[in-house]
Amino acid sequence: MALDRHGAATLGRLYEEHADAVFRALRRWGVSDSMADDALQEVFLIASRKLAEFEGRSTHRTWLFGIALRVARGVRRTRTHEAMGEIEPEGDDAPVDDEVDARRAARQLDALLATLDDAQREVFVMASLHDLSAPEIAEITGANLNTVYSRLRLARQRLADGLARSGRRRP
Amino acid sequence: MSDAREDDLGELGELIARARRDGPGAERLGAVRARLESQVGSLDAPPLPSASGGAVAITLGVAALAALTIGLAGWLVVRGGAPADEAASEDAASEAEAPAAVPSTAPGPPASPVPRDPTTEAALDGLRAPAEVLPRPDARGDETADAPRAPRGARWARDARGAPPVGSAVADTSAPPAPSADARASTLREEIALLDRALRAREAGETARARAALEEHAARFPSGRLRPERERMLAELAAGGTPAP
Repeated sequence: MALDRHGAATLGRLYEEHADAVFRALRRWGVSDSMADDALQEVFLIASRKLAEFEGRSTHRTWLFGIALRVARGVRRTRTHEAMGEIEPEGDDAPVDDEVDARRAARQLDALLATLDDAQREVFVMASLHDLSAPEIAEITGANLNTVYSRLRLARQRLADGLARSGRRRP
Repeated sequence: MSDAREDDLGELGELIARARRDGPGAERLGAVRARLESQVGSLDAPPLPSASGGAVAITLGVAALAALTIGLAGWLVVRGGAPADEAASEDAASEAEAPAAVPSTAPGPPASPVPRDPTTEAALDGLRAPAEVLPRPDARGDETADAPRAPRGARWARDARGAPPVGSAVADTSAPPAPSADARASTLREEIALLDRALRAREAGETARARAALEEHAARFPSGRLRPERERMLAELAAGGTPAP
């Protein structure tokens, strides 16, 4: 399916602006690293089909996150149980560069997120990692505003407890 | 959601801040994009004519049309005052619109001050069909917010009909009476004013206002004489807003 020139240019711009954030959100929502590329491609493939129907009632970012959330849910439904909850042991005192530190932190965060139920995880990732507003999250998830706040509060509490239990508090 | 930022989350916030630096990287995103393009085609912006050249052409075209309109009105006055009947008016209009088809000593404006560029035309075909792909500006320009707008379907339907036929010096008596030269000059002035507003807004970096002015022009004058200029500006806005200096 080929887009017309204007649609192609629009999709290209959306990809440049949002692909990185969508990829991260997919990963934090439980899409494995090996599945993330395919999931990201699927998000923008769906976007290309729906582009002509986009009416501008929400932002492009909110729209794309809505698509990405549904793709992530689909991946979660179909995947076999993967090792998501293992916190990778940190190396002793070996110095790490920023990239390695970021990767470790992401894995640790993924492990903590895996302790949440899917609804809490979805809300927490959008609110705390991507700075989406509660109304935007409500629009994306279809939940009402109070539910969004409630899920976010419970997610924070559970993550804080999990972090404390992991015994990895930083000095 | 300001109350959810990592600043408020203590050690969890620190972890989030570190994890945020972990991303796919440009190479990985580029590979996915290449796969996507193999399915939907190239995602690059379409090539457009030189933006700065287009802006100059538009400005010159608007100025030239304004001068020609004044000249035409003056010529009509010298020739014997305002047209006494509709037939005379029709003659004048036909002569003005078809300088090539009808040999005449009367000054007539060119069909378009800016030659049509097939590339731009093709780009505009893409702009028109799903024109609402991009979010429509919620806050339209102040001066255009209350302007009457034709229904979108009607607008494109009228557009599809194209410009009225030109080239015949004989008035078609079955057609509705043509507007007088004064009315035509007034219409052109309104077209010029709208495009001028769009130009100024674009120069000020207010692309939403510029687009609103152009859309107002499209709604009011779908086959207006400045339609090529409007379409060129729309294409330039779609390609990135203001032309390069």
